[in-house]
Amino acid sequence: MHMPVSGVDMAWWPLLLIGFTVGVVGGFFGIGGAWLVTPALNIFGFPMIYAVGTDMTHLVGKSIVATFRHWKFGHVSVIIAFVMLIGTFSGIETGAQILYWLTQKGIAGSVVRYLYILLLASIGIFMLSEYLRVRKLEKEAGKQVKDVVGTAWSRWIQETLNIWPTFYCPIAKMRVSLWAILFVGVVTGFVAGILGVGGGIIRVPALIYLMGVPTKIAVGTDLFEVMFSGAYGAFTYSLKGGVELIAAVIMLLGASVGAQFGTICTKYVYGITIRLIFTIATFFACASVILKEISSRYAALYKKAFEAFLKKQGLTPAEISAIYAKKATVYHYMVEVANKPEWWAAYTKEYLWNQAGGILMLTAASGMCAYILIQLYLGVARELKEKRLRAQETAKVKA
Amino acid sequence: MLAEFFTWAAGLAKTSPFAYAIVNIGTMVALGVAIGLIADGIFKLLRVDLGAYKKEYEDESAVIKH
Repeated sequence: MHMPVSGVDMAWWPLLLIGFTVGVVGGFFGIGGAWLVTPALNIFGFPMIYAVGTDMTHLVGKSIVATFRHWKFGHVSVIIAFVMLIGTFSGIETGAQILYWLTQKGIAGSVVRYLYILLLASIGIFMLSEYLRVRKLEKEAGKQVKDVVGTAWSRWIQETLNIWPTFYCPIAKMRVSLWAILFVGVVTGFVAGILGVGGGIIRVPALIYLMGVPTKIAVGTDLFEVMFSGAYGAFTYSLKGGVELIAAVIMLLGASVGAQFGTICTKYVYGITIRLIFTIATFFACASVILKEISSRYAALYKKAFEAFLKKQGLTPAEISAIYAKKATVYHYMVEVANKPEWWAAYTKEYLWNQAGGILMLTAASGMCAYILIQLYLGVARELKEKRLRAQETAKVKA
Repeated sequence: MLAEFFTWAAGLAKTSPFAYAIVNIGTMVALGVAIGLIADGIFKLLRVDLGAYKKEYEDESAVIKH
């Protein structure tokens, strides 16, 4: 299939498959999952420069489909989502300005990635230790724990920022101050902005641990936010010409089916289980950033010099970007035109590390997707069995 | 017709990026809403109950509250 914007040819089925996989995972967790999609797309030959924008664009449609289903289940707190959205956008803008300043100072790349690694590892370790603590409590008390609502932090935020206007949120069954939601929105938005990420993987834990929202409400509410942050991302990437619409549509078709499965599965699992899988996802996201950091070290060996060389050859920034879309073109300019085999060696190593990241993320997404689908199957089977038993009992009573 | 639409949209990416951005978001929103409604219709036809249900956090005995 020919991609008219990027000019590359690729099969349609990987797009459909990636869309389906991240649809399942995204619907289940309430995240966009750019860290899964972007490297996975790259593995199948989709140019990196179009991967992020295309992912952001398909996210708009996917989050509408998933949010609609979560909303029907009663998992979406529209009031929290809207107020948080205001905080998120202002936080993102402030964070993005600081990122821009750091980039100008030449200290952005690695510093930001190290911060992101630290943050993801901290979230993952915290969530895992909390999960293990709950399991231990379960064993000691001899009864099942299905979810944990609120933390000492959320209580502190609610009490400290208990300032007018406060309102009752019927979905989350909690009274909350507008300022508390705005505060959490600004904090998560700021972190997302400075890291240059969508922020779903930060917002869901923030809603759980800082707002004290039940896990499923955090998932549904975050997806509502993803609709808007995805639209914003899609808009800015489209302006730069970094979106392949046909690929986004194919991905959306797969993601729409996947999102139904992922979202419906949340009905059959407990909040605590969602947290465990989310923890695993956080560790994979962390691994993805570590691999990105390694590959960026190889990029530093050739990128600046190579692009300066291309500029000297009279190429425009858009033409330079297009060169990276095809490996053969990169080889041509590096080895045949510039006669710099060392650039090509560094580029190949960077490419291989990126591929390794892609394979890891693809494996992680497939594994999580399979687990979610199994849980869905078990949940539906359990529900059908219970219905059958109830029908039999009713028939017996009538007889 | 679909191929023509994508070719037209790809042309917009070069000539009018703003219009391209609007078309992209519009397409995704339209498709998202349509697919969401179609899926809901299919579930209703199949009589699959996907409405509100009793959540585990509503069961006080199975939840740790801080």
